[in-house]
Amino acid sequence: MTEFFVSPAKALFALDLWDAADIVPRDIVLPGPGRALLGAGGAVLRVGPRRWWLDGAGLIADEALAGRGGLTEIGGGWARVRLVGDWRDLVMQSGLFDAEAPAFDPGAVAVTPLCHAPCVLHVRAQTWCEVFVAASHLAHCLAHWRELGWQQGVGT
Amino acid sequence: MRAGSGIDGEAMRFTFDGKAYWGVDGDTLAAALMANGVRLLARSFKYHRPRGIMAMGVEEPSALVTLGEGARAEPNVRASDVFLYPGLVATSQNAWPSLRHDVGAVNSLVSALIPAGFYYKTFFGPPSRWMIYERFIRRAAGLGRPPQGADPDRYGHRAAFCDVLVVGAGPAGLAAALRAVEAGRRVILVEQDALPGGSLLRENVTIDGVPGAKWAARAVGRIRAAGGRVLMRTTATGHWDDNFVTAVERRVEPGQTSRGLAQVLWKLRCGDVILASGALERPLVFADNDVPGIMLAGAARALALRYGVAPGRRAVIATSHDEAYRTAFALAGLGVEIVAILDSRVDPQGALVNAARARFPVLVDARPLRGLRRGVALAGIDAMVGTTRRRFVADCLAMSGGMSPVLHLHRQAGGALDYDAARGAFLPGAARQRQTTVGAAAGEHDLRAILDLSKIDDPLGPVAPAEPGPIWRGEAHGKAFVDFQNDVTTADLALAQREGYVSVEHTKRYTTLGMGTDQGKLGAMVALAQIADERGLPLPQAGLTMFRPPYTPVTLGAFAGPARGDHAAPIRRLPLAEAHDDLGALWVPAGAWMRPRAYLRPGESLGEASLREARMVRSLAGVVDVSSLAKFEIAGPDALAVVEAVCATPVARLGVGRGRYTVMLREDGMVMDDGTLWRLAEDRWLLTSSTGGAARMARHLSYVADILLARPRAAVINVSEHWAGLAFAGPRAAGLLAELTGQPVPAHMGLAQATIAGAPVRVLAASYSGERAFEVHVPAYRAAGVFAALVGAAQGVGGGVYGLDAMDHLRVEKGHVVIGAEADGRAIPADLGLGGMVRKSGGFVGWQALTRPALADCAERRQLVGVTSIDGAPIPEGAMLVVREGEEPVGHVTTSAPRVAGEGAIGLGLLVDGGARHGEALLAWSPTRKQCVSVQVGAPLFYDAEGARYRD
Repeated sequence: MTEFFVSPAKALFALDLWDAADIVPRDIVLPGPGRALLGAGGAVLRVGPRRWWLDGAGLIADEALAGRGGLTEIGGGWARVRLVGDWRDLVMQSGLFDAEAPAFDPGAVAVTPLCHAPCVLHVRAQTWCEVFVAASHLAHCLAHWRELGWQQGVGT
Repeated sequence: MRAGSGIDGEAMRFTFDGKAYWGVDGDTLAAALMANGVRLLARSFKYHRPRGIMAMGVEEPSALVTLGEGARAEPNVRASDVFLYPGLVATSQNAWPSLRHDVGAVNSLVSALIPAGFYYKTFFGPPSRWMIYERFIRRAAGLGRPPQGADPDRYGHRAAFCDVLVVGAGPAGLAAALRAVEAGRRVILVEQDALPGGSLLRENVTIDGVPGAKWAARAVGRIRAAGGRVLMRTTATGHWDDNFVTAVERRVEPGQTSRGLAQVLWKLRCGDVILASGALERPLVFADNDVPGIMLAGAARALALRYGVAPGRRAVIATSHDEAYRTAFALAGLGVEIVAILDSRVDPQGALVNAARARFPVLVDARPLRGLRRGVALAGIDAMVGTTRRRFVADCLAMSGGMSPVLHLHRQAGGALDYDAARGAFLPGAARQRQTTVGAAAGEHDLRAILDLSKIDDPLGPVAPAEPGPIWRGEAHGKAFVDFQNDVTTADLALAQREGYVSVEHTKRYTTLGMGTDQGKLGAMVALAQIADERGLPLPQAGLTMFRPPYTPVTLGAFAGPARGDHAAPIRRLPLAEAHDDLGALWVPAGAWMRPRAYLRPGESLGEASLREARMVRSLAGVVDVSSLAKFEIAGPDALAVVEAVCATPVARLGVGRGRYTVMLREDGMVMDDGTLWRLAEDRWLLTSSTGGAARMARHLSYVADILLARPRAAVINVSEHWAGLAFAGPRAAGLLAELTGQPVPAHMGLAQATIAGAPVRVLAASYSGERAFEVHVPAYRAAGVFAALVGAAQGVGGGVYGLDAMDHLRVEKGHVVIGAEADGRAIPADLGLGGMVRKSGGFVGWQALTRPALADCAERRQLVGVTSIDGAPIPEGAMLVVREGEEPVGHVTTSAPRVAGEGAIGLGLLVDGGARHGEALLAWSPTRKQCVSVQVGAPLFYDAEGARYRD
């Protein structure tokens, strides 16, 4: 099966900590570089030296940051595409990224262009991967992936 | 199955020049034609000489054909590098009316008139003469014709990463790949042939008790089983920096219909690269060494042992080293009579030579002088044996003038070369990248050494290293070719030297040596030896031309890959694209974005629609989608420092909930972008900037924050796509917006939070049109309802949507600059009338540059002006501003538009000392469009100079 499922990212927030990454607040559990943490309310993805994405509402309250960082809503700019099937091959046909690396396993995160579009990859399982695609590029990416034999599945 | 070969596949029908033949699966076209007795395959590039098979690989210079038909036709395919498929259609090239009877062969008769460099000499004299020559030259010479239709094939790109890339699946490559993969490394092995084995496919050897070809196939199985990736029919064409290698995989043969991708361009990022690219045999140089029937000894051996095809009935072997002796045994095995082995060495020794002496006439100090032709095929050889001329009757001459290691990728990767005088060949020297060369490409010739762990049974080996063939000094009459593809002879090389084109790079261009599709694979070393001899230099001092990618020709489709048609460039769609479609938007590309240009009514032209929409905004209310504008939030305790560094206008005193127009400069003081800056909270700002400059501005903000300010306690978040932006403008806009939100609208340059159609929105009171206006920002996934509400409200009073053209008309009337048009990268703020806004205290990027005398004194600089068409005629955009036609321009028109509030045409321009020239009459002159309009220079403001209409 090689299918993709598309939905708006909606409740997606950028968490920026003002200080360097090695001074992460001890009372907030955050994933390290290139990784994500899954929780009941959603996922936290490390997408930059001082930036995380909170994929889900209320994962970290503004108050918890206590002035050490800030939250910014960004969900309107991203579409969520779930790739089910040989997603590694699709990713490597769409960009110059080593999706076949053994370390790129469930829980891994990569920020990389695919089909010239800004994308964030979150490996959810060996058989599926979530790709956040910059919303304006979505139609272009999906058209390309359809040409590569992928089909849009029903639902999200 | 053909005797003595590995060919036992299905029979296949194919055609060559319309005539049907049968071949066998696994045959190359060259082998299949030879099996059918076809010796004449092509006509040469310049002299239209008959040509047959010279080589049996990618180095084949002469046997070029067109494969396939119609739009799928592929010209200049090497017959030796295409494998048979059912229904293959091959056509000869560069011959008329037929391959056998080619009128172009008359060129051979007048060859004295068209020596090397004649093409350049046709440029002498009046250009009109060249126009006459060109017609004949282009028609007389050439290769295949490209197809005229769009390529129906599909091409893909694929990335791959590995610890070790091995190029070449010959014995050395297979051994290297096996070692690496069994050591647990990620291995990719690429091989341009359809079968692994390389030289093993044309030798009678056994390895570990199995025939070489079978051993190779098993080795590939072991590599794959251990997790390695093996790509057959894949040619590594370029070796770039950082061990990045590009390789083209052929999934179907040229001209063959494909169900999936025809070719894939692999982009390989490699830890180590092992080049096992083998060696190419060199031809011998003698008169008429191109007659069909004369071929490389290795090619003859491959025909015999790989394809079971005898290249003739009576063969002469001519060589300068041992390896060609193998060919004698291979041909004899198919019943070919070996007329003689001509060895240029005086006293060749060794087991192989002795074995040959026992079976064949071996003549030493012997070499061919001239190929004899009957019709279009070889009839015999004149040779010099010792001091005696002898003639041999033969229909095949298998020759070998030494071996040239394939070092193209090594050189492309920056590797050095070492010259080996005994071999007369370059060997790989020090590598610049993590790359090594092994096997025959490294000069290794002993299979036992290459496969040190295997048991080799090679009854004819090992052989001594190959020595180069003798230098040709014109001992017989006739053309002695060094570059068979471009018809370059030893006489051409000598002429180039005589005429001063001594450098090998000059010789190359003067004679076209090595400039064909084969890039001199066969002839380069032979030619260098001839040039060195001519100049009396050791060969290395004769120089060496560059090794440039691609190693073999790559079809343009493979480079383009999926980037064709709608995918030729990424297209960005607005979040409200479907809603605009519903309203009848006419789309226009704006950078990577597609944006509505106008919304045409039935029977309306684009110009009429744009003007109607602009006037609608001036009189009522309109909505335009500005979602593509760049938007950045800058947040944190040090956010103000970031904003102050980026924006050239005063910002520190801007209150929360307020905004202002701002400009951003490059470090050289030129305006990079403009936009609006809003203070959302004490430590949070919103900066908007132009659509086209969005990526540049994102980079600039990162640069300022991360480099100049060294990671302040602040973050820059690109929220361009999170917020859809809808500008709501016109004298009725404020009232309608207040109704929609149920709250008072903010004052000009004020900011408010509100709700429209249930969606939370930001309302930014800013005007680009000159009317009272608001930018409504809403999360993109909720934009549809807000857009519908705003459009509905506007339509309720007779307004509606407007597009980019109307927006442009409105802003020209107000003299607002656009990045790219007025702010064209050469303008400082003062040039654009923005000098008064610049922060006097400095401290922003570009501030120091503005203090330079050249920028501080603006008198001689081009300054923004308005231009009005004196007679009302449209002003040509981009036209030069001149005093009189033909004079040096003093400026140019950056944008033009019809007047919205009134009639006639206006524009903006950049004019030398423009601020002091208001009232002056000039010409807007566009000689390329043959337009000239009289304009009057004035202030860049045509509407509501007091600003009364956009204020509260």
